[in-house]
Amino acid sequence: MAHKRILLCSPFAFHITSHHQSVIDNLENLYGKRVIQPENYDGFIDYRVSVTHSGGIRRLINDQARFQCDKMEPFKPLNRSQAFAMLEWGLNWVVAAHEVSHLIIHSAVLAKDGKAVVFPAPPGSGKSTLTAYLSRNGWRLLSDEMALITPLTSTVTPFVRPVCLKNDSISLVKSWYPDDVFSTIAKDTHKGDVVHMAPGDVAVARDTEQAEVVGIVFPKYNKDVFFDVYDMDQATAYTALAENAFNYTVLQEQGVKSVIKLVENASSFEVEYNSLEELDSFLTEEVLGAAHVK
Amino acid sequence: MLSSQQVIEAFTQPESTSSFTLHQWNDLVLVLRHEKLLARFYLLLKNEGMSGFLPDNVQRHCKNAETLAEKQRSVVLCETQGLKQAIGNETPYLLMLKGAAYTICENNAGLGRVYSDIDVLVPKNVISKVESRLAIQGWLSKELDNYDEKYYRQWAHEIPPMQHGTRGTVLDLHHNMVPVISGKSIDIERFVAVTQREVNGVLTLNDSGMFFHSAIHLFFNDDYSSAFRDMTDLWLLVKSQDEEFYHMLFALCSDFGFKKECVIALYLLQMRYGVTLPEWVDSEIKESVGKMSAWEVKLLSRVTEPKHSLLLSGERSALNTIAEARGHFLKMPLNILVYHTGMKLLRAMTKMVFGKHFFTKPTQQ
Repeated sequence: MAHKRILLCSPFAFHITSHHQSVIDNLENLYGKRVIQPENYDGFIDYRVSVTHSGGIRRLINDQARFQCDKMEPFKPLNRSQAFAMLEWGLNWVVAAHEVSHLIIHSAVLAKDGKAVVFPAPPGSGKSTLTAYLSRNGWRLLSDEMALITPLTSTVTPFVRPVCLKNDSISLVKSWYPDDVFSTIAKDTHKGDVVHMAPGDVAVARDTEQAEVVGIVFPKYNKDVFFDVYDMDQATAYTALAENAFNYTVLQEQGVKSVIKLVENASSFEVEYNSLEELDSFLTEEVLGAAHVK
Repeated sequence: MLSSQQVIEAFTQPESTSSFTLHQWNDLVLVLRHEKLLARFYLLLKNEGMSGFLPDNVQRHCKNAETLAEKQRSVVLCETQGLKQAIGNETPYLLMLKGAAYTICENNAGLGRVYSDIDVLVPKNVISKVESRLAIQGWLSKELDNYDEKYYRQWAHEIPPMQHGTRGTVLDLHHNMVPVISGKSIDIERFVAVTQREVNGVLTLNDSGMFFHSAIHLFFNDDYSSAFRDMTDLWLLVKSQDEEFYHMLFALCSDFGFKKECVIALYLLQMRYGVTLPEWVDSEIKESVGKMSAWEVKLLSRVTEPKHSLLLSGERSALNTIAEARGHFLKMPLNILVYHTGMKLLRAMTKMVFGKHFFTKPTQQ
């Protein structure tokens, strides 16, 4: 049977259809009140997506999950146990592929007092562990995956979604925050084992509150380094940021100008760390603290 | 719920949308985005100076679509120059077809056009030379299974699609407009000689030639997945044409065939898109359509409508299947068709049993 739900995840509303009970269970568990029944929703729907069975009798033998939006199928099917993770990645794809009214940067975004830091980083750099930690230590989570930047400004719009934890960080974060809400595990995905963690009440309660980007920090977890920080010049920061901007080429001239603007209005750093406390105090004191001087 | 005619009228009579409720707008956005026509709809509305009354959400999605279409436009212009440089000297002619050509000519049909690929026509005898030249420039043949590869090479009017290794653009290299196997492929040298024109240093077909090709592509075919978009192409191509256009079109039909396809196109544009035809064209069409089977005309009228589960008429999947079967019959002699259908059926059954992606080659992880 196909289950249908509306997911109100500001600034977008998704209509989700799924054959997989696990998708609905995880969705309701992680998004809470933001998931509603279609008959209780009368507003505008931005995207209709689905996570369905594979066709044929394969379903009975080795069922798979297929993600679709507007009849587009961006990924090959995954194992049934990965269906919810697939929905999360699918929603990322939908927004990254369509929402060109924002410059979208592949990064985590966290803020304090309306001042935001973006953390663009390749997989394996410890970005999501960092996000989970900061979001439970006085920082407001705007996103774990993508910064929605209003073109030609430093304004970032929250897109508050679960934090995607991988492999070793799963048990680590679970041990730090045993009372938080986690999804079931998706084993052996292309990113390894994956668990999603609910974003937390504060982040959700303030999910329409924009912030100004004052810092661009490229994090790299290194178990042998306590804490090292390197200033980044604007040209290097520009290149590194552009590499992480999904739709910067689509926006063409405006994309280039927007990345320049962002770099000019923020300070950029590369950090290597194994101490999250130290990183936190650097961010709060140096990055946010210096912001008013600019 | 919207009817498919209401969606068509959103294009032909944009003022009809001014009474839409938010729900109807929502459905229109989702249907048009699915049909890859949201940018086109928005630009037409903008040209009429009527985009002001769009609800905010609708406006945002329209602008997104406009930006994406604008990007595609610049990609097409850039790739065209690149192709000219890469293979221009290898071939007596390099002619841009369909979407890319509409964009280059900046004619109506280029409005908000999005593409899945760039279509190019070169003579058959230079295909392999051109293909290896393109390979040097980073264009690689897409990986196909053995059967599909054979299908293209032996029977089709194009070679398997090529994709650029870094930019991802997909290129369809044609040597004719209709599959060789159909026995109806046209004398392409002569066709190009009478229909070609040069715009900004690039060769394309003239307006009648474009309409002729687009009509063949739509009605002498077995794929109706982009049929509604193709209908709007035809509508924009025919809109505001003078008598000369129709004379040229009918002259092409008597020289190269495919009058039936052109007549059906004009008939549907007249019936459903409110296109006014010159009197002699009108009577010509009435006579020709009168001789066609009524169910066939009706079938083609239905499968070229917008198709979506949010519309009253739904996805029309059964009719699509019939139209695809019709297309196969047109394109292949019976013995080949039996073989091809047998192969496809076998593969379809395998997919039914083992899932849609049985033949999909897994990604290296």
